[in-house]
Formats: sequence, C-alpha cells, structure tokens
Amino acid sequence: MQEEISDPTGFEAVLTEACWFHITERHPEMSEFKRLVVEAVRNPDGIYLGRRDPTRRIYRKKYASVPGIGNWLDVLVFVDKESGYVATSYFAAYSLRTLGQQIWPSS
Amino acid sequence: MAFQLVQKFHFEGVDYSYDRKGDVLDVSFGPPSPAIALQVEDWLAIRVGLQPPPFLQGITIAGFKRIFEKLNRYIAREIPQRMKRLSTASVEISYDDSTDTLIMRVREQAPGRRRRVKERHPCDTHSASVFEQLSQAAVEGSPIAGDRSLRNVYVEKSLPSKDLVGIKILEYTKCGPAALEAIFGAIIDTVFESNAEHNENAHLLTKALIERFDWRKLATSTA
Repeated sequence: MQEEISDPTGFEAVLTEACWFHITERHPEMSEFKRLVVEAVRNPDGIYLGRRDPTRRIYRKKYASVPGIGNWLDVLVFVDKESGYVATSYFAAYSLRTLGQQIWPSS
Repeated sequence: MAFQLVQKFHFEGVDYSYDRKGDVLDVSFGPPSPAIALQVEDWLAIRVGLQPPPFLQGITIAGFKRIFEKLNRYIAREIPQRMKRLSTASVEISYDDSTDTLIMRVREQAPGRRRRVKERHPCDTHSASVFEQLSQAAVEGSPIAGDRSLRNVYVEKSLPSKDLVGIKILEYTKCGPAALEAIFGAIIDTVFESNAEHNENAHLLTKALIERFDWRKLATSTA
C-alpha cells in the first residue's frame, strides 16, 4: 500500500510499494526503518533542491542512534519535485559537499 | 618498523539496477548488502559495507539519466571498444609507512595472447610511468582550500602513451581524507562545470572512471 506523506511546506510525497521494494532490494539496511523514511519527509531537519538536478527534493533528518546501523546518521530521502515520487533513501554518515539549495527551513 | 599494506579490489562481481521511474542507479560490487553512505555530492553516494572490515559495497547515483547524458559527451567516440571493462578491472591500493604514501593503481585483464604472455612472464608487466600533480592550480599556490588539498595528489601516467595508471597521495596520514575529497571534487567539477578552467589530469581521471562502466548494458536498462 502506498503512503502519502505531507512535508512541512505542504508538498505531498508518495512512497509506493514498488519504490520501497527497490530501496530495500538495493539498500537492505533500510528494511526495518520505513518509519524513519516517512518521518524524514514529514518532519525533516532540512529540505534541499538538488544542486545538479533541481527537480529533486532532498530530505535530511539526523538520528543520534539507529539500532544495528550506527550513531549520528542522516536519513536522506530523494523525492521527485513534480510527481512526489520517492526515488530512493539511505543512511549517510558524512557529506563531503552540501546537499544543494536549502529551501526549508528558510534562513 | 616500516611496513607496507597492499589491498586488491576486484570488480568481476559488479551488479547494478536502474529504477527508471526514480532515475536512480545502484551499483554494487557483489550482491547488495547493508551499508552506510558517504555522500560525495547530493546526487552521488559511495556505500561502505557495515560488516567489518570496511569495504566498498557500491555507489548510488540519484538522477542518473541527467548525469549519463552529460558523461556521454565525453566518451561518445570511445563507447564501443570500452564495453564491459569494469568487470575486468581491479584496483590495488598500497600504503607505505616509511614514506607515508598511498598509491592506487587500476589494473585490467589483458586480452587473449597478451594475458597469456603476462602470466608466463609476470616480471615484464611493470612498465615505465611518470607522475604529474593532479591540479595545476595546486602547483601555482591557489588560495582555494580544495586546490591546496590537491597539492599532495599526483596522477601516474604510463609511458609513452600517457594513459592513467593510478593516483599517489603524499603525506597521507595528514592530508589523505582532504585529498580524497578534493579528488572527488575535481572529478565532479570536470563533469559538471563546463566553464571551469580545463584541468587535463582531472579530465584524464574522470575519463578513466567513466570508460570502465558497461555503457551498453546501462543504455539498454535506461532506454
């Protein structure tokens, strides 16, 4: 069953069964953490527009501890700006460069 | 006591999947397994396996089609003869404690007769090479932090063809992470910043990475 998730700006993201299957097939560490992906969109620390692909919304939420995975990890969720389709998601320990243009919260 | 560490990575188990709707390409070296990402830029993540010791599990490219189109500009003429090379390539990483130097070398399986000759005469496989600083800006003392990190990064080129053979990082314990970050930055800027000053060695490094993908299979899966 697909989930429709509203972010703080009112934008609606859609997490379909097919997408979740693709995410967990390639990133098996995510299989127990669907609720973190949903939470990262619903209540993120930051929302960005991709630097190289501005049609991409990137949601980031930091977690102090993720059982079985590690500490101080960002959940990143990539969403298509037009369709709201959640494209992928994973845990990131470190970012060498900024995630793009921050659109929320606005400074 | 001085020591030297040598580790080899083989890519014969390379596997990838492309989600057309999400435009996400996932490449894994072996079957997908749990990993944490090192986010190089917003579209590119390097996945490091969770099982110790840390290993390169794969990469994720979000927005692959746009990137593929940009890369295609560089390699259009060379695509046909560079298919399926990634699976025959291996990377050897060695660290020498006495000189605090990290060297990464890309090796490829030689085709047919050349391979059999090399197997019979392994000592003949080492050919002459030359090292050049990766960034000319680093040579000239650029005030940009990324360029300063490149000061200790050299590309190794074979002679006389000047093909890319590897990368050498000096003072690795002091500037290794910053140097690796700067290398990734130089590659990304080479791909995306078409107005940036031409850096021949960064272009060479980018081309060497790009040409090792199986573009025919990728093109089929993205069609």
